[in-house]
Amino acid sequence: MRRREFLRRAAAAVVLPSFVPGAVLGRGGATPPSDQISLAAIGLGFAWEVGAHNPHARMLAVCDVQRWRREGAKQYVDRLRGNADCRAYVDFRDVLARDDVDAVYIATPDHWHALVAVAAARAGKDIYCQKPLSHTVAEGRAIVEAVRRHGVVFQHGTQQRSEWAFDAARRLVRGGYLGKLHTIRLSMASGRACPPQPVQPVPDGFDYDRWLGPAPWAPYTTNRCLGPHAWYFVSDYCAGYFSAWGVHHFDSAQHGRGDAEVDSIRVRSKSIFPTDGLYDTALHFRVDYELADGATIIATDDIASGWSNRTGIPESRVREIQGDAFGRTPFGVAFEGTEGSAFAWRGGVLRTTPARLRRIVEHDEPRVALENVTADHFQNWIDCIRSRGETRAPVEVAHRSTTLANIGVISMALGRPVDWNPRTERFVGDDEANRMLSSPMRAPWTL
Amino acid sequence: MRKPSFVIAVFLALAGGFVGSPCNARHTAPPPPEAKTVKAILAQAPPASTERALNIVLVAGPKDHGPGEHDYPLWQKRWKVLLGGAGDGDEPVLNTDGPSRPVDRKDLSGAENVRVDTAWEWPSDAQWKTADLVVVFSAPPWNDQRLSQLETYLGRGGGLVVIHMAVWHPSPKLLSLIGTAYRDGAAYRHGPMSLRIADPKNPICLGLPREIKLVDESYFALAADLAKAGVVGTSRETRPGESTPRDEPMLWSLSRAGGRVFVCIPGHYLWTFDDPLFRILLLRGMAWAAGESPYRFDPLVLRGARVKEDEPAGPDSKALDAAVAALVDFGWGDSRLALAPIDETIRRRDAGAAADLEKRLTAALAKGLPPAGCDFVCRRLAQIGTARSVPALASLLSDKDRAATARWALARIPDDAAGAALLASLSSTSGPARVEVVRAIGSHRYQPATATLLKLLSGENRQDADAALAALAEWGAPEAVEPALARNDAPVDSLLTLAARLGADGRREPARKIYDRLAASPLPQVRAAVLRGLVLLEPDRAAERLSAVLAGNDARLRGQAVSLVTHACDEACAAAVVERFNTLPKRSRQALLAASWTRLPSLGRRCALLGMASDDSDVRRDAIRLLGIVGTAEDLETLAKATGDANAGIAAAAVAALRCLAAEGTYRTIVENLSTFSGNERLALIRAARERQISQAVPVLLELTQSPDAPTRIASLHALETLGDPPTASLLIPRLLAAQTPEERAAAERAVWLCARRAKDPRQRAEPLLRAIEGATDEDRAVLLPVLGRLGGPRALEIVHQARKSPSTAQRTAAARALSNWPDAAVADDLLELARENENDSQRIAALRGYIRVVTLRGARPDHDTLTMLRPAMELATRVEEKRLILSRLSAIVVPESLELALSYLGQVEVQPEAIAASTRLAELLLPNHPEAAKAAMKKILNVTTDRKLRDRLERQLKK
Repeated sequence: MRRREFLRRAAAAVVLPSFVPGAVLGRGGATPPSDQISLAAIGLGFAWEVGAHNPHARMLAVCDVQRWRREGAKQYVDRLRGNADCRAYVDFRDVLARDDVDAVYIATPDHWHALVAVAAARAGKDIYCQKPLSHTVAEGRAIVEAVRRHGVVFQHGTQQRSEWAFDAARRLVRGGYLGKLHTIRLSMASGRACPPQPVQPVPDGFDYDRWLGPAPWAPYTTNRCLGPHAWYFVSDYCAGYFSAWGVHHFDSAQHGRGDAEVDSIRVRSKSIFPTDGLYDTALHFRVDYELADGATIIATDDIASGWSNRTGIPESRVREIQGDAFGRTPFGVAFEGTEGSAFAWRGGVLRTTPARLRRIVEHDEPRVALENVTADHFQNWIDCIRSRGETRAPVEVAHRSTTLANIGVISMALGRPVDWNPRTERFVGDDEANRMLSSPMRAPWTL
Repeated sequence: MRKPSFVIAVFLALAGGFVGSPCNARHTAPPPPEAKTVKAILAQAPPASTERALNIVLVAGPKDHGPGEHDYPLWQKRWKVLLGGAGDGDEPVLNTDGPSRPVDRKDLSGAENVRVDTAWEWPSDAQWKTADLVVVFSAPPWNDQRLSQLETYLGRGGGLVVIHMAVWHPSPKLLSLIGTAYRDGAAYRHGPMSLRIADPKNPICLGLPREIKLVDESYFALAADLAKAGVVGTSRETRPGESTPRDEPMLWSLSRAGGRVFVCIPGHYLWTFDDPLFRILLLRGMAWAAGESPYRFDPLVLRGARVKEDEPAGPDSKALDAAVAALVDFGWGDSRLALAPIDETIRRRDAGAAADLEKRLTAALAKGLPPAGCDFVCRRLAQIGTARSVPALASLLSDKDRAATARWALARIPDDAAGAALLASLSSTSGPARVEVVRAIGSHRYQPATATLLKLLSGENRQDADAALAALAEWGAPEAVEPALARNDAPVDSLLTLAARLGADGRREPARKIYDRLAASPLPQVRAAVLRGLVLLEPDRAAERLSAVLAGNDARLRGQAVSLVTHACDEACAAAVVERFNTLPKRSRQALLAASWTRLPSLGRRCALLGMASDDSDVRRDAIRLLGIVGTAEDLETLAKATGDANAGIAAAAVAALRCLAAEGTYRTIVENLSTFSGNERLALIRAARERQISQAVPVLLELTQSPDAPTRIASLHALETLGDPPTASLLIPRLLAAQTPEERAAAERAVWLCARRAKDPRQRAEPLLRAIEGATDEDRAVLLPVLGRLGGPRALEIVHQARKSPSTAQRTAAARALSNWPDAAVADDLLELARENENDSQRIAALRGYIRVVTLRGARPDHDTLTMLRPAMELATRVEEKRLILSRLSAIVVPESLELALSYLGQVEVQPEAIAASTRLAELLLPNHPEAAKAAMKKILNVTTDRKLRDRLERQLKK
């Protein structure tokens, strides 16, 4: 199922009556409530309801600054569980103050991730945080420190790690079947343009000031925050699909490389930004990451993809910036080595050269449907909360994957190559770039 | 390392090469020239003809220096692509130094009308005969015979280019041919080299600057005979024992024995080959030596070269004036178009332009801007601002609408003036604004503010005190410890940050004081933080501390301890903890095994091996899983043994681990051990070889098909069915004929069939069987015919037809089996006849099933015809199994008549589920074009099905 369809169904699920499974009540060998992980969802964004459906967890609280969203979510959870135990909150700090909440699922807009995650770690709550981990490198580092300091179990919402095709590609790379890995190609969606927008009244039931939170104040307009994926394209909240969505692919690239650290990364980018309007993140791009181990990660947007938007930029200009990478890789992740290549995409798509390589990894039962993959990734988190073990997408890995996106964003914003030192998490010899590693937080918010 | 003498050099080279030279560690590549500069040089060259086809031979040899130096093989690989274009198997990379840099596809086409060949150490006789240009970059094994060969080559007009180490040989003959050679007293120097153009009028030097900066190695005081040479470039070098430097020749051209020679001394470091100015010299020297225009290879100069990309031209002063003026009216939600020149200027990364912009922006701020304009400017000054921006930003700190971004900009301007401005503003602020200023001072890490912040920390105002502690923690102020601990309500996280910073600065005592205070916290997350802090603070006690926690019952602390072992503590500590592995409780052992993949592969393996020795089967299973990730080729035997474990979980984990083990040498070790292992371990390896598609294992597997051990023979046949190719099929036929059991025969049949089927040309697939069947005994023919049938083809059909007429029952039976196995419908009539007339029940059934299969193969004929052919099968199908088979095949024939037929089976209880499935599928597929028939069918299905989901689905379709 495509993500949009999944979202549509999930949205529909909020308003449709649901049955109460006996498992929730501890019947039929299910986990009794006393052994379930008590959850809260903070920010009711993508797939928050996966926790409500998990038989080993119970959703005690939902939190969102949009009244209709949090009330709908509360009703949804209550109906699912057959009780009225779930409480709705507007302030995440009230959720974190509850002793009976063990863990939180964070699906706020990106500019809120660090504040909520760091506060959750300080409160001792285990964390599932949607991708990308953070809006800036400094925020990501703060989350890593808080999570490790307080020993909380963390899972990043990069569920491609739990998906068969991507993991199969990783096994081919790690098993040496592709020879020496030299290139990883990531293909993702293009950005979105939006003309200047009129200032509008804030809708009733929407705590807009809290939605802005640490971001700079800006007047309300629907396309800033409430349209589908609208906030993805305003740099104060996100860096477009390149980071909001692209982190899935950056993470798959890292996963394929065995999550190995490198000593240096040179980032070269070519991009096209909107020249005007509300949105100010890249429309089209090619970002090359030259890793010290000899491999290069090349991230481009695929204008032919159904996910991409019509940006009004002529194809010839996109070809100009993407060079030989234009149209070369369909949506997904391609690993290219000296002996072969493997391309992975959701829904169990794995194409290899030579074709026989695919047979090597066909032994496991593929998990291909997005909702199943997400549920499985979520279940891994629940299992690790029980065992206090390491998840599939731990916080350092999340930070590294997100950092790739964030340093790419900086290179694009500056319009020049930058040299990144992953050990010090600083750019080499580029003070301007270093100043972009953090972002202002509007009072009273601070990490 | 000193450069060894020639004899020592030769000795070391023969002994396996030099070890890594420290030279590379001392030197780095020079800054790259600007792309526009190089383009301007190239633009001066006249067009060069590419009419003459050129054969170039690139000669390399064994590498004899450390990484990045004298890398002849890599140079050969990359320059083959640069000059000759990327062919199959070539890496699409053109740079020699550093990570592969992406290149456009058009840049991989090579030079026009050029063919590039490579030679290892010395060109072959054939290459000497056909080459137009030979380029030698190696330490070639010169000898008299080879020098004579070179002379002959030059004598027929060949071109030669000699690079760097290739001149380092003592030989009068070499001296006479290339103008230089090694002699005692020859010297070298690594480091910056100012290559001076000796003869600007030389066409090779057209457009080049008078001096080119390289970082490389010069050779000088060599034997030289350059009286008739054209020296292109020199370097000022001081010979040993002399005090005055001389201009030593580094590049020259000369004509010898009828051919042309170009010599290039630089080339020690790989980065030199990526330098576009060096490339101009070398590529032009090569073109000249080949007897071509020196500019013939100019188009290659920039491909994959290290250059500083062209900066876009910035906006002019007027545009900037207009942009800054537009700030005055800039409001939230306004068009940003007018402000674009400001960001364009920032993108230029031109210090002068940035300073000018800063001046303009601060002036605009000083004059007063609306909040949106002010926000815009502050964000830019946060990026490019210096001390010059501070006064203007500081003036905004008391303006409640503008202070926030001004504060933020000041916090990010690294100059102390910014910190001082923030500190100065403290006295004029109060309440939340003062807290914000304190935070900004903390972000700036402005340590001169320590005394002021300590006062706030000890003051009455809690918000001020909390903010002051957070700020002081940013730089780990030791003076803050006592006043912070004196407050009972100090924020725990600030205390932890302060302790961590103090610890990182080596101030153990004050840090320890904080941790001691917090250790008694009732909050598990705080106790976890204290454990982490203490482990990092006192590495000498870390192993003891972690082991104690792992031996305890606190789950949260156990998780933290595992995280510390696998992420944070040093190697020695982690090793010490892992050595106590088997004394730890099961949960801790399992937690360590589950987390060890993240770090410490060597310790992870140790952990896994210790786990393998555990008496707990869950621990052993987890250890095997970990070994599959962090194990080495040495662990293959352990894993192979575990595949035979009585515990199914362990055996399954071992099979999976053998499949995914990624350590270096795994392939080779699997192949080697196939013949040395025995029993279950060998079977496990055979399976791994099959699953990992190790085609190198085929010869060993073929041998194993003759093993006295039957399971080994059968497993090998199974592996070969996956790994073998058409020639393997021929080799397997004797094994098929010698099969001792029905199981082995079935495995051999399958292996022969699948290997033979891999022939690309379908007409060739049956060849191995046809050859074997020719002259075979009746008995062998009976064995081979069923396999031949699987491969099909006209010649095979002839043989099968003959066998059908044979008096031998075995032959006829084999022919019937062959027909039943046939891959296409060419045998439909034969099968129908067999199904109707054969007296043997099993053969009749096999024929009927074969008939149903071949006539319903996709795309063979129109659906109606297929249905017509299927009807006789329906009449003959008396058993449930065949009826089910027909129904399953029927659903692929999408015509209304098929639907009717499927519906006719709805009343037959024994095949009703299959009839419902086929009818449903056909009805749904026919719905768009035959709605009436489809809906009528759906109603009939609804009459018989009780499946709720299916009913819902059909009812929905009926409502449409």
